[in-house]
Amino acid sequence: MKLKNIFLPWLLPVFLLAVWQAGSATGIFPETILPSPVVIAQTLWEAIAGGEVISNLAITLRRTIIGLSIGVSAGFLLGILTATMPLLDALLSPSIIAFRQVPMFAWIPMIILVFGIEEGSKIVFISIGTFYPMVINTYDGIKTVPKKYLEVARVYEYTPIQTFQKVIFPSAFPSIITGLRFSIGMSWMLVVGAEILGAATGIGFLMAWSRQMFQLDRVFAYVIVVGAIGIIINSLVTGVEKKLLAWRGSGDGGSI
Amino acid sequence: MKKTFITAGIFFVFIAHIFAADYPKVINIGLGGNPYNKPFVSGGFGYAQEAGLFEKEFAKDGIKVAYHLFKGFGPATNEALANGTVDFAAYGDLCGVVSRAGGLKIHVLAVTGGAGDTYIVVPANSPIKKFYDLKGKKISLAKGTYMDLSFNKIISDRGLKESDFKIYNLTAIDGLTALAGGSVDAQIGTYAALDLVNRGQLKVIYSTTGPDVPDNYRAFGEIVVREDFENKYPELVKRVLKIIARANIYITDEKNREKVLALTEKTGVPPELAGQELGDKSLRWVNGLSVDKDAITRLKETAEFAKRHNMIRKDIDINDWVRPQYLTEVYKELGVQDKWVLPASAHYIKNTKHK
Amino acid sequence: MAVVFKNRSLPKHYQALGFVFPAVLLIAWQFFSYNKKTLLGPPGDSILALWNIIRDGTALKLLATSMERVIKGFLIGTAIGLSIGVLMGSSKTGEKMMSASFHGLRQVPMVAWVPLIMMWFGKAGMAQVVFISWSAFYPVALNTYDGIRGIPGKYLEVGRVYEYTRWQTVKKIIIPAALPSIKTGTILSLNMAWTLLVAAEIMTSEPSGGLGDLLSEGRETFNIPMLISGMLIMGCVGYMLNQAAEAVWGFVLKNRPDIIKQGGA
Repeated sequence: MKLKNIFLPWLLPVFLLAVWQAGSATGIFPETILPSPVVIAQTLWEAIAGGEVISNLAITLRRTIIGLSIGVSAGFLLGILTATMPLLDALLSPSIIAFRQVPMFAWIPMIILVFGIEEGSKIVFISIGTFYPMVINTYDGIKTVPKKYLEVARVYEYTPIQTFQKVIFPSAFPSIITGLRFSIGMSWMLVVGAEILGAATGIGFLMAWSRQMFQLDRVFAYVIVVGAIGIIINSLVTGVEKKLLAWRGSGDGGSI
Repeated sequence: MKKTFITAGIFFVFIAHIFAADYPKVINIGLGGNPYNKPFVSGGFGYAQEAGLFEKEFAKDGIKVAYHLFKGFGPATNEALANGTVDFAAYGDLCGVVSRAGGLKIHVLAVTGGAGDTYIVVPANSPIKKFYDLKGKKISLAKGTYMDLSFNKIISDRGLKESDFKIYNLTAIDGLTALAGGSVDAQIGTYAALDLVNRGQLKVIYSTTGPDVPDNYRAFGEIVVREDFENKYPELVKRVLKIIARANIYITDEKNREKVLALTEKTGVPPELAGQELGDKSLRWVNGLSVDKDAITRLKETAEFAKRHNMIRKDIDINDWVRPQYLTEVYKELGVQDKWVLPASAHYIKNTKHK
Repeated sequence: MAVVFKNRSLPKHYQALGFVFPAVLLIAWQFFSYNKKTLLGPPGDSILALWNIIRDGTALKLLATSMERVIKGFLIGTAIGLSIGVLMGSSKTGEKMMSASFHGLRQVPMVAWVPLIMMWFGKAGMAQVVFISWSAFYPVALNTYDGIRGIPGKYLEVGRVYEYTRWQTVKKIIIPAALPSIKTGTILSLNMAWTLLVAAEIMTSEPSGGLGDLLSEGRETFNIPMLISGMLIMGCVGYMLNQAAEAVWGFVLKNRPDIIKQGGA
């Protein structure tokens, strides 16, 4: 039974890899369409050992972290402000909804025009993309704080700041965390996309460049790197999220 | 069970037979499109398209001809060759070299004339006036394109190195956007930059146009065929090439200069821009076809450049890559073999009063 | 993201305030484009360009092509996503077998697949649809799986009491009970499909014949009004798609089987 548990998750990937390698070895998949797993593994190893993956990854991650921090903080702040101040809500929310409807990648040409081609434009792009999930989930979390909690705050005669600290924020916390998780997931996709569409450094650029230089094995190797980083980010986020929500205790945070 | 197998086997052999013996239903030709998204091409292919030359030639065999116009400088065309979307393609020299080194199974049928000129542009109000002012400046350059090749020849002839500039690798369009937005000082670009020059945003400080610029500053191209297709239908390869050669005879005749312009305009390029791009260049330079020794030398130079700049991981044997026999025979049949020379020796029209 | 922004505590006429910010933006835009000659041009140019492509039917033609792709891709992606989600959610073996591959592949950003998908499916002209299916697949599969795993045990008890077969359990209990989750999944999918359509249409090799062309042509020929028209159309259509999906789901959820509705999922 235990053995089966260990064995099962590997069944599908191993089977696919075997078919793939067999297909490449027999020439059913030409190398110019689908390089063999062995070749890709070699290329990947060379790219890592040669240092180009690490140096470009560092650039990509830097962009991600800065863009994400800006987008998430702005989204968090604006989410709180619009959810707690009806006037600001009426003023800004419709615009936020409207702008959100424009697909992210459609912004790229405009962003390059306004912010140029250096780090600024990529960071702005990631900030905008990570801003939306955060602002919406923060807003939703606060707006859906149960009325009875607010009643309690009134009974205790909390100041607005106390109410926020002790009632609103804890109740909205799960939703805010959901927003954060969405934003983080989004940021990785956005940074790679932005780098593919217009950059001279970063892991996404390496993909685009290898494509231009007709080196499909490299494209594949970088796809694997990007996926691996995605997996690491995801497991980190899930781990932290579990810890945070466990600390908070099992309340009514059924939204996750 | 056994019976099904045999039937299937016979059926399979039958199908295989049909494909081996007969012609393909469609011949697919891949060409570089332009950003204006019109389904037309310029140059020799444009004339063949408009006059229906391929259609007339292949109608009796029931073969259709389809054009695929790709965006960008080459990756798309290479992918289309790799997955069999297109059988023939015409594009820049570097794209072919890169794909050949990457294992793409294609052969070169002919080297083509001026695939493009390089224009160095700066904002209209920039203090940069001449080439040497660019030293130490931020320059956008699309690496891995003919502009890269051209720029490297220009600077090495002037004793400069890439490290004398701050080079940003941007696509031609991103580079222009960056230039318009002020985040780089200059761009090594294509004639697309002239659009912004005409709108008063930019000015040209150097270009590879004009009679006194060395020929090897300018880009050239190549016509390639998929090896699979060539092995199956060598006769069709020759017929296709013959049409292309005939179209080029028409299109390189100075009598038809207006027609050449009209074809370019039909692709959506603004007339003003089309005129500026053609300028005083001789049509033989723009559209000539060749496989002679000089043409092969040019391909070799490109391959060496690509190797030097780490664009390709292994050397390619140019002689093994070019298949000169088709064009040689075609020219013999058309009786024009002596007239057709390498673009490098085709000159600008002298003393023209073009506009 | 279930709750949509709504103004609850202000009188109705305050909603007009929503126009203040866009108006300020427009005025600023007008001011800056008047001040010096820029590529952007005044807002009037963009509005005129939008009106022109709507009037001569170009917009509709591009929209139709894009919509066809989104709908095809969305339907294919949703169908596969539902099947995989149900398989993983309702069979332990299925879950064990699939989940490592599923979650591993999910972490590769969609856009990173573009070069490979173009290589493999470009020939059949299927690249965009495959890409959109692929991106629509994950939210549906993931939410279906989550939804099924969250089904309260008492519903499954009911199935046992009625002696449902496996298929009947899936059809009559599991799917209806997981519907709210599936709804979230499909709406996310649709959003995703619409967002990534642009990426797909910009990155593909031949002009796509869809709305993405407005963006790439506008960008490459410095026709900023065309670019902005494209963004506006995409924004509006994205909004309408979202509303339509909500409306369809409102109807579907109202007509769920009774057992589940009384359970108050």
